[in-house]
Amino acid sequence: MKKYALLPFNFTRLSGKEVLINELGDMLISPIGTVQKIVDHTLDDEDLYKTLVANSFISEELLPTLLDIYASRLRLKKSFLDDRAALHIFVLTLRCNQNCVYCQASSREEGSAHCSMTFDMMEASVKLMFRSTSQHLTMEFQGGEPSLEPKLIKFGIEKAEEINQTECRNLSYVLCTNCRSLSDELLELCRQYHVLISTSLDGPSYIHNKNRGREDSYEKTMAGICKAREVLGNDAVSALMTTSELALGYPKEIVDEYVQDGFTDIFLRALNPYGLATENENWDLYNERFVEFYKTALDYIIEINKQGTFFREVYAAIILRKMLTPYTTGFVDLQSPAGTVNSVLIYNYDGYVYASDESRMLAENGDHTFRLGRISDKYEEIVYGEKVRKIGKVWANEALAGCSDCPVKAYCGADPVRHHSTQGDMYGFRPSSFVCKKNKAIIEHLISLIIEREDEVMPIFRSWLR
Amino acid sequence: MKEQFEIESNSNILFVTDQCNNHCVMCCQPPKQKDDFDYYFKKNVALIKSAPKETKVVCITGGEPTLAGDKIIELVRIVREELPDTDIQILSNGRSFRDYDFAHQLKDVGGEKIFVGVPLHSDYVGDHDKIAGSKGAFNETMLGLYNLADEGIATELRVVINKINYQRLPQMAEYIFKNLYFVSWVALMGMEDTGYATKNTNHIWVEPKDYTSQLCKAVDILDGWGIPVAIFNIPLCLLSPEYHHFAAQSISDWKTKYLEICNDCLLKEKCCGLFATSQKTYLGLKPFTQNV
Amino acid sequence: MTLQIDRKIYPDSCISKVVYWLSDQYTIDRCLEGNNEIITIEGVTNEQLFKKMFFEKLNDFKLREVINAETKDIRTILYAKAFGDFDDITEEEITE
Repeated sequence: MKKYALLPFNFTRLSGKEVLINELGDMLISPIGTVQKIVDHTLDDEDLYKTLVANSFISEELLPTLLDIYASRLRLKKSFLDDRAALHIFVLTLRCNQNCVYCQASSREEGSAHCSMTFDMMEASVKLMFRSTSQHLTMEFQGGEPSLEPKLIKFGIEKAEEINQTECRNLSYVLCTNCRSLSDELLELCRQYHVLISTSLDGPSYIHNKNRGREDSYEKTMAGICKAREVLGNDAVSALMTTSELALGYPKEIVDEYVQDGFTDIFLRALNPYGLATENENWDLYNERFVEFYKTALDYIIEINKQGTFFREVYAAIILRKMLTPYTTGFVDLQSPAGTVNSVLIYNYDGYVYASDESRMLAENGDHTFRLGRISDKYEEIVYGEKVRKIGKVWANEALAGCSDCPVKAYCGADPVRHHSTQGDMYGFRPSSFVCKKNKAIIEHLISLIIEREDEVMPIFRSWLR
Repeated sequence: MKEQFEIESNSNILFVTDQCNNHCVMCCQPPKQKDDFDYYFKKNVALIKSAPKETKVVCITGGEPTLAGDKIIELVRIVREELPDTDIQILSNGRSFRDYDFAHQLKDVGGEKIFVGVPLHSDYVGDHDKIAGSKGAFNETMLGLYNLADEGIATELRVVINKINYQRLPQMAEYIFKNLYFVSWVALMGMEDTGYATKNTNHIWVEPKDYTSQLCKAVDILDGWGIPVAIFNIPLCLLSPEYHHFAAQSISDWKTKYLEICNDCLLKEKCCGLFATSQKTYLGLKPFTQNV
Repeated sequence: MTLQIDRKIYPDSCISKVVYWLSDQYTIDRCLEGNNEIITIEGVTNEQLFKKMFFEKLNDFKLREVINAETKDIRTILYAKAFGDFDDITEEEITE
């Protein structure tokens, strides 16, 4: 073995192995004691030595000739930053036609007034959206229930298309809806502009209805999904679920429901501590149970794939993309620097711009910490203003206590909004952070799967990431 | 070497030089030191000018063609001028492209339909340099590949399998996906046993039947990640049937040979056969007498 | 329970990091006496297990510090190379 210098890396121990992770998030699984041997220069396994050099854990040169390539790969990992915000969420209204037990949006009755966006606000918001330099812009319509404001949706899309005549970006549209009131006109609009439908399906009817506060919710949602698929095609409709306390007991049933309904993806999401969901007091217990639920569901999903049906878990796929590929990811909640402002901006019915989806939920409870400015303010004042600069000090996990030394930091992210909301401090206190516990548990579980069942799970994971 | 290019042929060679700055242990065409750039340049210009305009692809090779420096840039410029719709394939060790300007010049004259085929011998710098017979080869090749990618020039990788590198084929596959994710495709190749390969046979020869498991694992990895991969120069009888569709008709017509037992083989037409030029014949060959 | 840690072997930063991760569940007091740090922890049920866990974490952080110290410069150069070129935002564009 030749002389070598160390390159930056961290390590952890899982499933009886030492897991080495370098600055890019490239992972190397090795026998226990490897790190000590590397540091002591007592490596005795030639093959392991070669792998360490090849994957930039150690270098035979003091200043590696290929450092430029390493830097280039690091840039690629963070390239989600290149284009500023690509996801723009338009919260059209708080009005809703359901009554979900865990509503994050603090939705109001269908008939109530004074909680919808005006046309002027929509126009100003669309103009702000185009101030982002991103080549890809996604307009996502949320609420309450946005399909209760079809005229506003039409106006917003048409305004965006008009401005895009000169801007020439790649525009895409998403409508987040419960599918209860998708009129023919609205679906025709969606068809015309290739609007994707994102709906909520919590599982079989007994779970979905209990969560949604209406007995006919499942029926109506399925009918809406069918109708949307007919007009827009199967690929245009996707679903995600929120794991209520009731759902925690039914991982396989929920996955089965998705498979039966013809979905190829499921996003196993934990409850957020916002809006009506804060009434759930015992977060510790919920968190523990959620991680068990997740592992059981994921195992079941792997079995389904082994039997020949392609079915992907979205959260795992995001983490695996960071772990196993050289590419960046666009998922707002698992980024460093954080997705807030850097990847997403919210234009709210109340006439203000917010740093993230969860920021406007805080505002419903009177907390305006992440309200960045009025929709009528100048773009620079909003995005480079004092509030953003404050968040900017704590939005990179490379520079946060607890995170900077964490071996799996590259697969995780910073979440100043969530930490402010749950701990009263944007910086966050990692030892008692639920987001940290949950993310770490899931990330470590995925690594353990790769260690213990490599031949079984790697082909499946690759198929999820192609 | 051809006197006249043919439209459909994949052997329209523009031979630039016998010189090379690598000394690969398995080189089937050992380099010579003579300064031959001008001699071949003149021949090549004549070949290009007499080529039919519909020629599908020309292949610029050597030795190491980029050693010709300005002359190779000029050659590519002339090809592009005379044959605007023809694909230009350059076989190169990629080292000259560590000079960013050189990569840029190539893009300037070559335009879109140009791609560079580069051999990669290992993911570990020490093994690659050992096989390439030149210290510093790996670093320069890697930098060259990145510069070519930056310029938008398509690249393909060729891995010649030998005793020094066959055990790390799966690791190489992962390395390629992580670090050379931009390559258009990868060819995993059986070795031609001639030239230096024969001379060095003791420390580089390995029977294909002894490395097919690592080879197929590497194919699984690259294919799993969506990187197009092909197996070159390995007869079908040495490969498990589910890998047959990766095997290409890779040996040039004029040096393909089959054995007598191949006459009974149902898959003879699809199989690449063997190198007529090789000293050794692979062990373990047998005809497919039943359909697979 | 109390633990005694030789500060010549384990620097303050290593001890601080272990204490950080445990401060959610335990009350921890630190006191420096000469070259030794005396750490008092309240609320420990299994002292043997706790000590093992504490020193495992301590040793791991020490190992990380060795790696970080040796790679500090190369890491700085790496990040400078990766991100040092971005000058498309000028001071004028950012209003005070």
